[in-house]
Amino acid sequence: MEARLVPINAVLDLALADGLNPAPLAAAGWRVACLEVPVLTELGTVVCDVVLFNADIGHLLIVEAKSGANIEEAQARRLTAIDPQALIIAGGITIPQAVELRSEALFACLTRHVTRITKGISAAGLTAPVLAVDTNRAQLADPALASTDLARALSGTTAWTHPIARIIPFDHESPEHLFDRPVRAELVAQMARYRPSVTMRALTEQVISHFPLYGRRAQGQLVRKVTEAARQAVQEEPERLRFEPGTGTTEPRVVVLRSPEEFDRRGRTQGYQAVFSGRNRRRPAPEVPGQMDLFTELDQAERVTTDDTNQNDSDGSDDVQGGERQ
Amino acid sequence: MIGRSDLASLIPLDGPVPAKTFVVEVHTDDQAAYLAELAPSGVEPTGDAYLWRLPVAGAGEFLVDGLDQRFWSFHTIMPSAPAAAWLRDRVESRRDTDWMWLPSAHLRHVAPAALSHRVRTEFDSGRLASADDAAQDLRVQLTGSHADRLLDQIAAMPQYRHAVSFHSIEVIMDDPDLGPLREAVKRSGLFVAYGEDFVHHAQFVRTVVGRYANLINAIEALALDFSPQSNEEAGALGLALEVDDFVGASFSGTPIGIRFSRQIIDLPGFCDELFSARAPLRLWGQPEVTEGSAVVDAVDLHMGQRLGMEIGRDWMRIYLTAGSCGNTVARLVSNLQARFDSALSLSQPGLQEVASLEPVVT
Repeated sequence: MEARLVPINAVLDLALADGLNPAPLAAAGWRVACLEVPVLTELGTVVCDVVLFNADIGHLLIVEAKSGANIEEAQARRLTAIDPQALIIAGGITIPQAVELRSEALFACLTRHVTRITKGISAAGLTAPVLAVDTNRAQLADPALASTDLARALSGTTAWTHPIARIIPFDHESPEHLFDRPVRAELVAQMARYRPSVTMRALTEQVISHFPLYGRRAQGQLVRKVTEAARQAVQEEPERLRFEPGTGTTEPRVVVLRSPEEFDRRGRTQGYQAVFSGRNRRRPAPEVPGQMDLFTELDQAERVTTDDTNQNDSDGSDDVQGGERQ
Repeated sequence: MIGRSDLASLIPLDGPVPAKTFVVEVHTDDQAAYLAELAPSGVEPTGDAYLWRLPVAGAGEFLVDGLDQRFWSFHTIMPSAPAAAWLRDRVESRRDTDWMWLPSAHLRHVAPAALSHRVRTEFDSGRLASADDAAQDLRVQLTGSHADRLLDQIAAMPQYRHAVSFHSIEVIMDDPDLGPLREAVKRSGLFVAYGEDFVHHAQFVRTVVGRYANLINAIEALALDFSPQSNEEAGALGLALEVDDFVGASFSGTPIGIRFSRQIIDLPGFCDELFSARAPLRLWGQPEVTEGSAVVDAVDLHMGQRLGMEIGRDWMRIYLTAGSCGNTVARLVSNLQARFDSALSLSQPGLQEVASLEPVVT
């Protein structure tokens, strides 16, 4: 996972009760409500990276996941000025029971940036907790800056027992090569579904399940990167796929020329194994053709013997030759 | 024209050939059109809106019950081989149709109040195992009263507990109202029965399918879902959005975790086999293996759907996205139990409960 995506994925993992990594925010009652939500404040509009809601105590946690080491002062001021009711409305968050609402901003950053981020917040004259995360652990930098509920939930260090879940595995700023594998997989899925073609927009939406999070500019970048990955995939499989650029009336698309689904059922497995196989698939352990399972041989011999015995028992004959039977 | 009450005479349980029910998962909005595609030679409607007669040339017929619109029952008294072959060709050539993939525990506890008369376990690790494994291939078939108890003894031995995977079970029931029933169930959702009353058999099938449907629903409830908020909603809040502005998305779901009771020794080899596109898993993928874990954009070729996966030495994480079929995960779990670790568990307690049919103590 790219380092800049560690903070947002770490915060999500702390609130996802998948049972692998410890999830203290989930255990304390917070659930992920929404992502990338624009909220209007007295100071202007601000986009919240992640919003967590604890319905039991009415606590909204507004998380700013910093990919770098710098605080944008105006943005930080807006985040700390968010009215909880405005956030409930903006995020379309359901409140299951009457409760007094409150909100708290939380800045999440890589551990190596925590000093600069903390100083930046302080220099802006703001008070907000900072969560330092890396691929080993997550920890509040100064629990005294957090609300009692948050400090209690994140007391001490949360050590990851498994890799951080990849809820946002890449985004519009990710390098192009990261799109190769998911794009190829989606093209194989299209083949399996007998789809004759797929447009670049549809392919992007299929490849990136979190596509709706992004604004149009970011979505455009994602479509361009997926398109480039699709072109690469087509170059690697020219007999199976063809790229058709857009025209005045059609969108750019990949056409499936030949799918393993067209093969006889017995040949499909090999057909799929051959797709994009140029570099990656290892050869299985060699097997000597024609060699049989030895127990099967024993079973067959036993069946012949049993049949012979039964035959002898039934007709009283003693001239049956086992070697003449199948 | 026949009705539902005629099933008892058309599918007798007291004949020389046992009654059979194949349960098949179907995704369609138009049941009649689906069946017409499945059997172009003709499907005969009945007086019941969810029941059809489906002739199989030269072999007999299925009575297809689509009352459960997702898990259909194909009842027949045809011999098993032609019936299974006819269905297999259709299930495996369609992306909207799949078998039921019962977890081992759903067979183990198929009828808790009944006497288990015969059990068969099949564990065949093939290339997923290492040559050092104490049990690479373990098959046990036992007939007798409480036939499952020997398997409990084997599973209690640490070196073999991963290799006791229920493949089929035969139970004997005697209900004071519904009468006697001898029912055998296979993990792919085939039911074979002798008895007195078809209704007893059909209700037994319904009970097993109901448990399985609970598992599938629980899996799908965890699918990752990013639902966009509309520009109109944002506009209503007084936000003057530029075309490049984010509008946000609600989020729900969580990855599905699996814990293994044993270690994967050769992770690259394990991944190569798991994503080889071979039946029964039929998963395609090009794993990116680093030290101790692997990341894969896999494709479930049964359904033609992509799913993200991560695999560690003793765990697996599956990213199912909204709209994907939970049967993909059930198939993976059932086949991992039969090929790598019958003692695996789902890491989320709620999911483990519906998979194991036992309460989870946390």
